[in-house]
Amino acid sequence: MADPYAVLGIPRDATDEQLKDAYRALARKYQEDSLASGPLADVAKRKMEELDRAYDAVVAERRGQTAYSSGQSSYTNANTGYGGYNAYGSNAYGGSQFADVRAQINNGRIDDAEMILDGIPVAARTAEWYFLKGQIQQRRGWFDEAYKNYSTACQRDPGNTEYAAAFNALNNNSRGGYRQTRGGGCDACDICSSLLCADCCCECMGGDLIPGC
Amino acid sequence: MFGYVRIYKPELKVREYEEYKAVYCTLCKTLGKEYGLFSRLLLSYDATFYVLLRDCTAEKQAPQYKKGRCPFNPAKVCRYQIDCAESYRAAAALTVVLAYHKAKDNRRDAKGFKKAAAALACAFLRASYKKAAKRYPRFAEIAEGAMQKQQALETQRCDSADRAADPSALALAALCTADMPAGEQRRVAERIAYCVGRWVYLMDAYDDMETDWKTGGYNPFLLQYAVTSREDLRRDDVQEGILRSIYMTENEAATTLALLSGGVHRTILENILCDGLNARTQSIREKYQKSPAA
Repeated sequence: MADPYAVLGIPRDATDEQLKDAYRALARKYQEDSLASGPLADVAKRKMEELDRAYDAVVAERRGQTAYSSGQSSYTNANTGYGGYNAYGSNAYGGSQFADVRAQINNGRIDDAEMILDGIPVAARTAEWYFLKGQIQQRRGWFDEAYKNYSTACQRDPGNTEYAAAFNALNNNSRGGYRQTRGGGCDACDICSSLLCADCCCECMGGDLIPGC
Repeated sequence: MFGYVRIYKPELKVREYEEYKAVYCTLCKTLGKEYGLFSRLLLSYDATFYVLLRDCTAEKQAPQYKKGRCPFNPAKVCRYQIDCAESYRAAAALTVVLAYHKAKDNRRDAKGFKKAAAALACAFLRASYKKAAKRYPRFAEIAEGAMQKQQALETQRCDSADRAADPSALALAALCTADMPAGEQRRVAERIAYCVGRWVYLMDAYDDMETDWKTGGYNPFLLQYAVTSREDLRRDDVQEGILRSIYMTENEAATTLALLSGGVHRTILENILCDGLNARTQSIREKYQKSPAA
């Protein structure tokens, strides 16, 4: 296994706070929605697992336990949100009209998948067809056409969460200024969860920060 | 490629800027050594990006430098990198190959004085190109293949910017990863290079939209958005659609960089992809906002 400090990108004498910050910053980068739906989803997933292992190893070492011991991977297991994207795979196949196309996209056989899709007459093209066409184009890097196809899929089937997630991931990328849109370390979710945590702390001491919560 | 891929200096640390300059100067020196004094004029930011990406991906040790003097400005003391000579030789060949194809493309498309200038440049570059193509046959092969596909799309008057950008994006991805070992790192570098190549093509088309509209030259955006008058160029939906595509591309490049291992030049690459690309996009966007539709 690689040096956990190198994976986290921090020096050996970093404080616990720096350790956590480094972990969070990298985790946010590896868990970008657009990566999870792109051709490098497997790399992003592996990087995230490597980061979890490195974090656990450093924490264990600092607690005085043997470093690199296994079975400590609390973070890996807690990360359910990330695995969610890969539910594209096995679970979603069941009710799919295009199970074969999905399998090929997941295996990286983009051209074969597109050939099957293009063989479907225009009149018979469903919301799923547009979604899968969008997936192929996103993997190729044809973002403009992918955007349009996702948008058509969402219009035809507004209730579908899979299509909406893919469209939103791309849409979040469609604003200028990478730093401005991701740079901040505190978004609305962070604020809410911090407030909730503070409330819990107050409550266990008998006080209350957010009445009724 | 056209020099769009640059650093964004305000966000760069002084030592990172020095490092970038050292890469730039070393490439310039290598060009001079390999292809003669005049080839130094071809030096571009894009080939500098190639060196940065390649050395970052190779997970090398920290670069080593020695001091020297710039022959064009002897008062200036430059730092030259002394290791990684192979990256610079490849980048020099890449510079020559791309410059030659650019000149050839201009000779075909341009009119009047510009055509003559391009023909002259072509003739000048031919000897260097042959040398570079002999040393790096793969580069010449990739570039030539891309040029042919590009010309075919232009003759068909392809009305999709995504499709029109594909040959040059694929070519850059292939050029940047030509001698990398297969594996994750290569796939990541390929994706980044694809996005950068695509971004350069889209930016060039966006930048030239007005000129191409006047001269009737091929421009995928004019066809995709069915531009019929000069006012159309500044219509909100046209500008928004083009910018959305460009933003998606630059953000994808920036996001993907996180997956690349290797620390050499990393902060500079981050600066280029996360800030530099967007700064260029904004400057062209402002060009369309400022100049009123006449």
